[in-house]
Amino acid sequence: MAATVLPSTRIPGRGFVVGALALVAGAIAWEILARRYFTPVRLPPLSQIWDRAVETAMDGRLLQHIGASMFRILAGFIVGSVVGIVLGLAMGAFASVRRFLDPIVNFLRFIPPIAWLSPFLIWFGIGETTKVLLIVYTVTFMVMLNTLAGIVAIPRNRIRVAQCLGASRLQVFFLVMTPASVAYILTGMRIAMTNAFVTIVTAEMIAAQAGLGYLILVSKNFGGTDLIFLGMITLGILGFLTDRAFVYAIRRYAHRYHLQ
Amino acid sequence: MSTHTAPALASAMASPRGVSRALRLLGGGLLTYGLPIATFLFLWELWSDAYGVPQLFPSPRATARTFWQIVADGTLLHDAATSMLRIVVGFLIGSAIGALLGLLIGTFRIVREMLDPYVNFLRFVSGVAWISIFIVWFGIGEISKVVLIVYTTCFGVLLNTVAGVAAVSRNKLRLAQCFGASATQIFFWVTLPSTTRYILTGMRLSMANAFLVIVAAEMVQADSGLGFAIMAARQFLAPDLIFCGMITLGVLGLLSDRMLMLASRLLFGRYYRHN
Repeated sequence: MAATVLPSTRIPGRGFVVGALALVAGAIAWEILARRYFTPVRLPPLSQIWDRAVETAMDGRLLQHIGASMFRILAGFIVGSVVGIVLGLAMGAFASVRRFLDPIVNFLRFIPPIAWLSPFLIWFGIGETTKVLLIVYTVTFMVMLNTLAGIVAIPRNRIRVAQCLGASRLQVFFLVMTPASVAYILTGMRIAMTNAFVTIVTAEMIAAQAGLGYLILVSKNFGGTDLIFLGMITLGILGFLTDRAFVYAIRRYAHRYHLQ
Repeated sequence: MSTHTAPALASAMASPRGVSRALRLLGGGLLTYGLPIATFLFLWELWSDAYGVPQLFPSPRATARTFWQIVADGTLLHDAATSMLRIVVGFLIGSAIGALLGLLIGTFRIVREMLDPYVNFLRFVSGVAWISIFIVWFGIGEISKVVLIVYTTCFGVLLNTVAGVAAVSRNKLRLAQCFGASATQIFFWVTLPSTTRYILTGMRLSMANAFLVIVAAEMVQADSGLGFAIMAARQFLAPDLIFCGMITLGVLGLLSDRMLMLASRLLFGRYYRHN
């Protein structure tokens, strides 16, 4: 699955040059197309988006939207990861827990997290709680499923070796199962972070007064297409940076547990 | 677990002696599925009682009543069909484009190098972020929703196809070359068959994303579909309708996932055999 393929962190060569050239060519094509054939409401030129980026960065609006979105994501992400890891480990370690939760989890995973926005809005109001809880739910699920997958993927013989050497159940859990699932947990967190971005953008489009999703949706209403693009590009950069942080963490901390 | 029970049950039923075994398996199935689901429903009932305001947190029984009601008057079917039509159309177009682009990127180095920065950036711009811009470009009608699904699906399939082409065993390629296969022959007889599995996996992952994106799009701007139904039900405070919509989404998601899996096993089963 593509999601588990880690991008290379090698120093780039020819590919980098061609890629950079393609990027520059694309930017020039965009600028010319937008200036010649489109109104700024349809497709604003890149230079206009840049001007708008500088302007909103200066008056602090952009930072305020970024801060709102990132706060929600991080708060929900940390809580959701902890809950997900605990649940996943419990499901992995105890067959009874797994058998009990399996049908429920298998049904719930097919309900898109964003569908919970409606009931959450009724129960918790339109404040921050709703949005953070939505992220918690999104993240918990992904981390839990991956943690479970990590424990299931442990070779039986590795557990048997530990048992033969006289490890207690507790020792098997803490010294064999938990370390072996670190790589999977981090991968789950990486995917969950991507999903958290999707969820928060939608939630902010529907019920928020700040955040990048709010910026993207509200700009549509007064023809601020340049702001829509600015919001999308900012989202892309933030997503890219957090993802890279996870790639780094996986390489740094999960390497000794033999990923792949 | 469901994948194990069904075939085991079928094989047990095949022999007359196995009937008692089949009954035991069925009983086990009831226990493994029935017990958790019953407990879940029971807790839900208790919780909604404890909450005290049925208008805000309806019990499973109240939800079931509403469910029958909207099934009977056809609103649910209408919303579900609208959403599914958007998904299926966008999914088919997106899969075709994604597989094609993925094969191009995977096969031709220059295409890969040129598109790499775009792909690597755009994969972090989720489909939902495009909602606004697609509405500006294509209006608030069906087209903007279908294009959204096309984008989402295309990306998921593309990334997996590229991974698939990269994973083609070097020795298979070398073998074909040794036997004198041309580049075109290698593409159609080696690369494409080995990549099929990855394309199908990409389609399966994309199907889940398509559900997510269409619900989001319908919640933000639509006048029909399950996402719209869920959002509209909030406005007149009918959580039972919300629950019905969510359960329908879950069932549809589960069914389309299983159907996709079944279809790919039936049609492309031979590409799964060799690793």
